[in-house]
Amino acid sequence: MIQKFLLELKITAPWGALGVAVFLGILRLTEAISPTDPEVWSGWVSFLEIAFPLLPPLLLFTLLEREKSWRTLETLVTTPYRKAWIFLERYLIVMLAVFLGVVAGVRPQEYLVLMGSGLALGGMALVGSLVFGEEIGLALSLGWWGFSLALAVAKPDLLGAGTASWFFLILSRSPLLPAEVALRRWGHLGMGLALLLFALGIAERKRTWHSR
Amino acid sequence: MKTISKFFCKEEAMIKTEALTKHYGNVQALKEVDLEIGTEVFGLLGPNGAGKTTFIRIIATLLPPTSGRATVFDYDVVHQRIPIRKMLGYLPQEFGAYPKLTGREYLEYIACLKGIRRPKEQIDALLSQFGLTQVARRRVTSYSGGMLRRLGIAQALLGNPKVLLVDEPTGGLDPEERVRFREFLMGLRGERVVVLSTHLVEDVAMACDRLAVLHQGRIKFYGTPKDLIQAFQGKVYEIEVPETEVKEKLAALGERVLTTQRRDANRAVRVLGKLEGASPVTPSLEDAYLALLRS
Repeated sequence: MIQKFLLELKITAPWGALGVAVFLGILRLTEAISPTDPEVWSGWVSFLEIAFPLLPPLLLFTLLEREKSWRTLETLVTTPYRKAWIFLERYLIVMLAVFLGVVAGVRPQEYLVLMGSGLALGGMALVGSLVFGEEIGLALSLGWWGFSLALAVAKPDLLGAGTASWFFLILSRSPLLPAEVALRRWGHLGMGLALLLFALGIAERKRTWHSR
Repeated sequence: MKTISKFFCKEEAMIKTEALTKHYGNVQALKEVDLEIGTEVFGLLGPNGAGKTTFIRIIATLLPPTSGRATVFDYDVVHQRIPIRKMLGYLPQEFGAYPKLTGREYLEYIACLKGIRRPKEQIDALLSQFGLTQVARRRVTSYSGGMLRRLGIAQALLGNPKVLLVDEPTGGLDPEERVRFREFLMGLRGERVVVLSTHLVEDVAMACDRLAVLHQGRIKFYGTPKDLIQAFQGKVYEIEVPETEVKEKLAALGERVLTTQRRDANRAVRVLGKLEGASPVTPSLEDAYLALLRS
């Protein structure tokens, strides 16, 4: 198990990137560094709220696409090992690395800002990729992100309206109360986890696997 | 020549297909293929686009058939994929390994995925068998095409699989490696089910007990290499043509030409069917295969 995990780490991400992410995470979690300046802080979080959710779908696309371009997918699929576990392990490795890298500049109460929408888009990308192909999976999640961004920039007041507000990812400029925003972010997190579980189910049942 | 539509082996069949059909949109890659393969080295021969890779991918549980059925040791390839994968060694046509891993690490990883406990001895033996011991600690990105192919064969054999599917395994191998690989396949005779898909007649001639010729998704022949040669005995003729006249002669003979071979200032041209001035010859397996495709 340990050997497989170490090999999975080596396959998934460069040691250097993993090292930097863990190092930054340690610095932040031990409070050797901490974001305290409120002005810098608000701009940074606003930027992350827009940019961070893009990382999970882009990283997932890269992970799945690489498997095809390396021509390793067919050999992987014809082994009896559960494909869902392999995808889950690799997804968690990159997500953990990205999260550790980013928390260096984020206060714990804002973790949800990043992870909720990030996981939702990642889950959407994974489901779309396994059902329709990587390009469509990525397009679906980027479309969702782009629509949310356009609405947040052009008509943020619309985000206050009822059920629809649950499907928009960029909420910091919305007229919603902080508690309502937090509730929606938890909703995104739940949606992301549900999509991830659904995707893992698809990976186990998927019958057609193609290399490039 | 056998013209029946169902092809059964005399021994117990380990791989069976019944009316196996696969469509890709409007393209029919396999058309109602009935085939039985026993514990033998079985060749699947055919030109590019004949449906060989589709057949292998269905048996390897990578593709579901559009209709019909395929079983491996009585397990259905659509509904019982895990038991099949437990007994499968597969070398895809386009094999690749993770570029950051060394050859040894790649085999260790595949051993983990195949659930092999303490694989070190097996890995050492396979690395040695395929001449990869010296490069085992090098990253696979530094491997030549031949080395990578040998690594692919080694991973397919990890876990001593009951069924070995190899798709165009000798592509990219130099002549020496090709001979070594065929000898290795011959050594597996009677041990396990080996299905070798290839468009190279020499691979089948050297290594296979029996073969099926696939053409445009259908089986055109099923039997031993000897049977295939026998089917065209007395139907293949040879004529010597001066080199200066070869172009016109070949154009005139068209589809009847099977093979040509240089012989001093002449060219020996083998054709299907009687021809004035030509004498009958015993066909090679290549002649018989080409004659079958043209007939």
